[in-house]
Amino acid sequence: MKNGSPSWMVASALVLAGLQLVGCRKTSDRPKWDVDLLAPVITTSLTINDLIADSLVAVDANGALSLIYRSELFAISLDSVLQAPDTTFDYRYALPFGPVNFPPGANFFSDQEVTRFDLQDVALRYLELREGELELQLKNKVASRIIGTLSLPGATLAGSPALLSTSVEAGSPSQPSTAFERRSLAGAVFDLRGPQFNAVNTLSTSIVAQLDPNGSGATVTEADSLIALVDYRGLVPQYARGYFGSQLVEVEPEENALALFNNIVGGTLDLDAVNLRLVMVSGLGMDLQVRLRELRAINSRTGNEVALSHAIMNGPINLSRAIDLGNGFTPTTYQTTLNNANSNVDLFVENLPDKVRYALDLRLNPLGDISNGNDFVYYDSKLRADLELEVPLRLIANELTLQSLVRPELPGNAEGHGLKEGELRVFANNGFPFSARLEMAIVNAAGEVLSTVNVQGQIGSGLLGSDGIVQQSSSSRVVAPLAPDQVDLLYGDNQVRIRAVFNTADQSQHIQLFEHYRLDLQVTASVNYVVNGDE
Amino acid sequence: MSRKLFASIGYMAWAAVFGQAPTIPAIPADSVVDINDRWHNTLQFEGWGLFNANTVYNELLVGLWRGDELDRTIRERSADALKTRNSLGYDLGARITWTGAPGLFGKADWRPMISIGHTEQMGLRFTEDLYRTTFFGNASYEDRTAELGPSAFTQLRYQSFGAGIHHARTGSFVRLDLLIGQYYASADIAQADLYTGIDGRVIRADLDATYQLSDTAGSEWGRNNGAGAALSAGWTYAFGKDKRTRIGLRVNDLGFIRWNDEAVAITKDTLIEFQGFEVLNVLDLDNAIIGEDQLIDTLGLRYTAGGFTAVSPFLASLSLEREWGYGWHASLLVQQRYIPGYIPQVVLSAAKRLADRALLGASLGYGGHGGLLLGLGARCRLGEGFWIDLGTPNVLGFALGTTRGMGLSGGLTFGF
Repeated sequence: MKNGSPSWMVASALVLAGLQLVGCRKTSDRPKWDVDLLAPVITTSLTINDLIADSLVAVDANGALSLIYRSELFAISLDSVLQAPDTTFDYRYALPFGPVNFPPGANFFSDQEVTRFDLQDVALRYLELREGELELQLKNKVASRIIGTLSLPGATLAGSPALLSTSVEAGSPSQPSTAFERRSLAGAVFDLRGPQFNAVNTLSTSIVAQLDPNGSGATVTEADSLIALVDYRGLVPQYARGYFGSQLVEVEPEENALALFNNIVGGTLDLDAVNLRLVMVSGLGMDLQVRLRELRAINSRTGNEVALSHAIMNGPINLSRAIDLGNGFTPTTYQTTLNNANSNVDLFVENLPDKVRYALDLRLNPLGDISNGNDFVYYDSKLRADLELEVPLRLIANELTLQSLVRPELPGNAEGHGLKEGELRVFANNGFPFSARLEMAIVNAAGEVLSTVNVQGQIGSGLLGSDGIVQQSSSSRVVAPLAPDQVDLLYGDNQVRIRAVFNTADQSQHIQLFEHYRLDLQVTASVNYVVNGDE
Repeated sequence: MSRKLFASIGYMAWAAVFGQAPTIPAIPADSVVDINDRWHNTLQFEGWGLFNANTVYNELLVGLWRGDELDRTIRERSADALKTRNSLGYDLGARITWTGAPGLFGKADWRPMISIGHTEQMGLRFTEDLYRTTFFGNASYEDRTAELGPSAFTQLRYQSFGAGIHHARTGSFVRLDLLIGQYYASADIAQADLYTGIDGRVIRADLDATYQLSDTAGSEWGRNNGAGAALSAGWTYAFGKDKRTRIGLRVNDLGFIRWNDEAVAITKDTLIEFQGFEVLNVLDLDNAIIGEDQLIDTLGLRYTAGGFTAVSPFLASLSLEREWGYGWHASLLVQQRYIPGYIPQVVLSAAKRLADRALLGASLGYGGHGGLLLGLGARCRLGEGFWIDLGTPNVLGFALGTTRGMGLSGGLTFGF
């Protein structure tokens, strides 16, 4: 059950006297008066897990913390190495002379063809489709109903012989009649070696046109004809085997967002050690050679860019082919670790990038067709590169600024609100080895500062021992006064921008963060509030 | 003084002083003005609207009533006047009573009586700290304890439908009423010590209190949120050689109302400590909604639903009256109402008949919800069977904002 009034007994027994006296009056006539309220608002404890998600933090036996972060650098999927374009084949039949009289049921037209798909450098011998559609279209200018049948001897559809049949009504040269028949190719299997099993990208095709056995036959002249169009559309391979050629896939500079440092809007971070693993996993059934042309950390806020410097930027990375298990594959993996000693990865990370730009060349089968046409790809096959960052949280923070935007839920609205002015008081008991200076501003939807709150005081750092470990927490009091015009702004479509500026206690040496460090916070409010002012 | 205020009180100011209403000053029955014995039937319309306080000035209560913005000066003026005992209350009502011809049940002096009434009452007693925290907030109590109790409050609204008998010669009567209640709210705060920590870092309340509220779905006119019964009775005895001295005992609306099962209540005898809402992630304050429900849950102030029975705010009185020669009357009245903040009220009244058609009275009273009050009242007979009464318990209340208490009572009576 919901109570009628939140300020039930303690604060309202006297309001009873007044407000209950006027209780029978309409609410717009409620009296108003201002009161000075002083009360706690929130209390909280902040550990490193509140700053960084649990999944990103590792703790060693001593409680020392490390940051673990994984991000996909790039992924090159099946369609980069194999594309099956929509393809149409047409088959035409016309008498070179005439007229010829055909009886009912006569095989008016019969043709055995080989159809070759244009797959450029790729020479496929076997193909299973995940998606796709086959359409047979007949255009009849003969004066008899015709039954057309398309069969693909080298293919099966859903485990059955690939057969497609349709009938088209009688037509004439001036008014041909048409008919369509479509069939899904999901699950279709194609042997692309052709009728002699010695070709690639080739499919045997048979088309037969029969005059209607129940009709009256037809007299066909040289002006009469039958056109059959066979259309393969939307083909998505599930599995393909063959030789994929020695293609060069060029990946032009692309940028990937990096969310790790999103909340950091200023200052510098000096890390004692950084380990960055580059892990490439190939599910492609062919040898690969990757040449990283560019890998760059971009900080959009500062405009700074740091190009990664490491041996992998100089020479190719060779990945051997994945292993085909028949109904899946075992990928192959390449891994290398970049650290302070063999690269500039510390500068790369300390740039606090929000984006990573990369460009690369991918060479397929750099040694040629050494698999004798047994390269393969599955629908799920891809070349994927991940960055795995491991940073011991041993650092020097200098004016490192984290920002968050808060839209406070306040009683009342822009037209009427009881809250007039006041101040927020923050009480901190800080066990972290860094100080924090709070900055508050009211910003509009575009992020423009409308008013700055004059925050007084800062949260002091925990006291360090000679071993660089916090020995004692420190207590601090921070006051943030809110003037009436600032309170009014909070009722608009605005937000409070809170920035915390961190400085480690010792700027001359890296300070290790430990799991047990915590910051206890309590926020109280001293406000002038108008009773019934929210109405 | 606002016209709204006058209108609110004045709409009930039409009734006979000789009726059942607790009018002050008491304008006594007068055989010359009223011509009491002549009428077989009387029809009375009574109304009254009174409020009173012993410390808080009218300017504050009137401001509350009108929905004004109460500036600090007005609030501080009443704050400076606060005492150990602070109380206030109001009593609004109207009643229609028909009294029939004598001879009921074959008794020559007994007359039948049917009466319908509407009653709204409120009573409050409060501590100085309760007033100050309410009207100025708790900030000035930083590192101090505000003693909000003992305080108590009752407010209710009901109608009564009754029948009874009236003794024509002595004025004694008895009436049994059916009560239909719309609204009831009651707080009994035995203890409420509210400590505000330095910088507001803690709020600690040592609370022993009960709060009851009738059905929260509505309390509009015509709604039945509770039912009960009440007895009203008066006994008058004339003594002395000339039988012109009378002593009277009287009780009005002694009974109860059973408020229905949709009513709610909460009883707390506990220590509440509040250091702020616990927020799991201070970096995600958007999700830390601090609302009424969360506050209620945090402080454990959820109501429980269920009916309860409450005694009606009855009024008991003892009066002594003497009629002197030359049309002079004098009376002493002591009365007590069962409602918070009310102390026994003593009223000394005097009235003088003017010619054969009018009585003019004055009173000096002390107690009830207020202090010392000077009242005036009058009765005037217009024609043979129609007279009008008008009175106020505090003549200064209409003139000065810095007085306490205000009210008007009156009525019309038809004899036929």
